[in-house]
Amino acid sequence: MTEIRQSRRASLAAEALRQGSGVPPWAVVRDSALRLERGGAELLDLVADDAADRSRWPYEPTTLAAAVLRETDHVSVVIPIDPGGAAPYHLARYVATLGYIAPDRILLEVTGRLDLAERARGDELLRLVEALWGSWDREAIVADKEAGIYFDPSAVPDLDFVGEFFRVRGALNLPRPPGSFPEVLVATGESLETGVETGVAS
Amino acid sequence: MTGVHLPLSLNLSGVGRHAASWRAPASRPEDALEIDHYVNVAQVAERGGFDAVFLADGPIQGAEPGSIPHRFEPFELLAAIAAATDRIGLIGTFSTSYNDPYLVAERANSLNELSAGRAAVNAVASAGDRVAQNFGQERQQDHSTRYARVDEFLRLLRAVWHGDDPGPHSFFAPYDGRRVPTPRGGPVIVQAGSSAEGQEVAAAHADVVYAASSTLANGRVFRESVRARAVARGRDPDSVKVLPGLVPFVAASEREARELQRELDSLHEEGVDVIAQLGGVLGLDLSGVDPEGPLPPEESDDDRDHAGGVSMAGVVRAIAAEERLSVRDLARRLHNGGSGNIQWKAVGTPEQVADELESWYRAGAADGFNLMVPVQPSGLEVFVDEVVPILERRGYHRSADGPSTLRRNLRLEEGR
Repeated sequence: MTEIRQSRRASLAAEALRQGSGVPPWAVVRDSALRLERGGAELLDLVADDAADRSRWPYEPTTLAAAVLRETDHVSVVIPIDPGGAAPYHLARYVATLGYIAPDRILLEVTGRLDLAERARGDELLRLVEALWGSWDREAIVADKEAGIYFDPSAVPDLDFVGEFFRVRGALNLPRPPGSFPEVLVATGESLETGVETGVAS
Repeated sequence: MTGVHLPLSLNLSGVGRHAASWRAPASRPEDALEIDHYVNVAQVAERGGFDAVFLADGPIQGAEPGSIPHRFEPFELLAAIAAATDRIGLIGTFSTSYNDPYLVAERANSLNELSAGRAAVNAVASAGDRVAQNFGQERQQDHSTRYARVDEFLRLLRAVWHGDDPGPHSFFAPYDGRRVPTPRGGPVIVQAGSSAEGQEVAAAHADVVYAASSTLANGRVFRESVRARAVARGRDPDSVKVLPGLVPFVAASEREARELQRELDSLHEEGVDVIAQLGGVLGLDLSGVDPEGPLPPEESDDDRDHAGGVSMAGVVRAIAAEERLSVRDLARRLHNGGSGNIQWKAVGTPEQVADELESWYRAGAADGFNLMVPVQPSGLEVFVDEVVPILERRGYHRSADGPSTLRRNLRLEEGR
């Protein structure tokens, strides 16, 4: 499935930047996304490629993804994961919130210099984000108006993740989103089953 | 007609801002996990003349089984709302304690661009060791360090957005001159802490201050204090808008409005140790204290682990002193407001509630209002149908017509 998508991968930034000079307003970005989707694109990249383009591209991928996913119908988006970027707890919330906005329409891709150390950090980060994504289930929410019990804390255990690079107590402040944890693309462009790649039991 | 415009901001969290909101007969607690619910409430607010919606936040799962413990990430949720609205402002909260200013600068500016100039950041210093433990730290930093970090954080945001000199900084990576493209002028800055440090940060950086004033008298003192601090820093005091938070209970008669409030309060109290909860906020063990007596006096050390943070403890103590409340009554008051909104409640008919808003403005306690509607969307619908038109008729509010920006809605200078 991802191989088909890869051949239908398009850059939203490039398409929007091509429409004029200066910063493309949101209306232009939105129309570009709709045009690419109608044209058969299945996967959109949300970052600008080079420094000249970046100076005209104020859009950050996860906030942009939320608006694009809301405006489009079925196209998926690639969320870049920078092992040196946002803290894992924040990153897990960005990804999980997108999972609620548009189930099964995001993919993750680790970015940056993929030397051995970075690679190990990126792997641990993905493992942690996936563990936070599923740190508790919606069944823990009982919402019993009579008894005044909204959720059962015993069904929301601490995650207590301790890795080589990260330490997070958890749980995430969102129950497991609808849909599956996003597929992970690696820099070569090939897709790997996330669970196998990161060693997380699903 | 006075011809002023008092901006209205709406707290968008959950299914209402009373801690028992989700138990109210009219509420649908399952809405709290529906993106469409928040989009719908924001659209009702926009059509009803509101100037902004606001998402509170903390990067931690709630621990109280009787309350909703989860929250969407504000900036992604607001970006989804941006796509479905065109004039309402979008105010997102982030923690300065566990974020990087360069990443927040990009994310908030991105929201501002994709909403065509409607974004704001509300910077908060997170309180509590449990939050720290979600970010690889055992303990939180002390109160003054957390606030020094807020100040430095906001200076760096202004450097990235506007090219302002960030001054000396030590908590974050050195500023390297980086900028982001800001054709829409960069996000508005909101501040919500009411401690002295919070007010100083507001006076230095904020366009909007959310106040947690419980009475008109302390609301006026707070607004004057913020304005004086702004003047001391060479700012025009009118460039800082003070928006007290209020919880409106509106019904056709005053009796029905009071009944609405009573119902929700008593629902929420069943089976809860409210005094232990108060102790958590104040950082005190109240188990041996006479519940009908006054609150024990304050200790000097402010680094105890207050669940609600130092400024919340200060607000609670001020209310206890002003209204001479017993420990039990104070605990019930706190419990029923929720630790985020013990403040001002306006209860009555639409005319009475409009009168009260008007009196806060006329007394110099408010430049606008931040509404915490007890049950959402039903309470919001009543407010926009019944109260907003009265404010408009009296010349205190003008609803935006067509696309707008947050700066325009707040009557702040466009761009910087």
